[in-house]
Amino acid sequence: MSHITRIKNAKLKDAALLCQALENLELAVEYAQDNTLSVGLGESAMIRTQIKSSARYNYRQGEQVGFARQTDGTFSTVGDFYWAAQSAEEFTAEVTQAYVLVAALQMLAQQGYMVETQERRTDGAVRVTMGRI
Amino acid sequence: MTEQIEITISPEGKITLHVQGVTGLACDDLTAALEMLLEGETNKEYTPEAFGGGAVANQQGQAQW
Repeated sequence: MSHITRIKNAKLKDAALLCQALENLELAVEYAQDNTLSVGLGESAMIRTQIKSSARYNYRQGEQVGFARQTDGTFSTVGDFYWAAQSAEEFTAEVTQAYVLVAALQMLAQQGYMVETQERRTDGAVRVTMGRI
Repeated sequence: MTEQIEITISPEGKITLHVQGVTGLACDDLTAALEMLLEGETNKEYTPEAFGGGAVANQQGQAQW
């Protein structure tokens, strides 16, 4: 049997997966039990990281941004992106892609699948093939 | 027969999983856990292979994204 499943607008709810996704993007991660880590201008987050500053502000040491846990359990991006090399939307999309990849690989590895190929396409998409005998 | 899954994740995080070679309901079970974990909008199609070469069936009756 064969089928195609598509999932869009994934909700970022799993803190461990989110931390792993950030680490896979080679970002340092700080984690707290609640939204107690300060980021940006008076905001607070449960997970904090630092991204590159824009080339215009390369004298800065990087920008602290993070993810705050919402009442519905999802994480939302917080921080001041004014000096950052990415917009909040670009950063969130990049992290979401990494999060979904980690979730899929972990879930399928638990079911005995192994990665056979993995590549990043020119359009920015990630393509992975996994197999199980 | 080798069971294979082809995964594509767009730059925005939309994931497409093409499951091949898995028999029976196990085919659905494979992606069900991920669907629950991600809690996103899900669209599922059974390919012609699943029905012996017939038309593609869309479980939710939605247009392909």
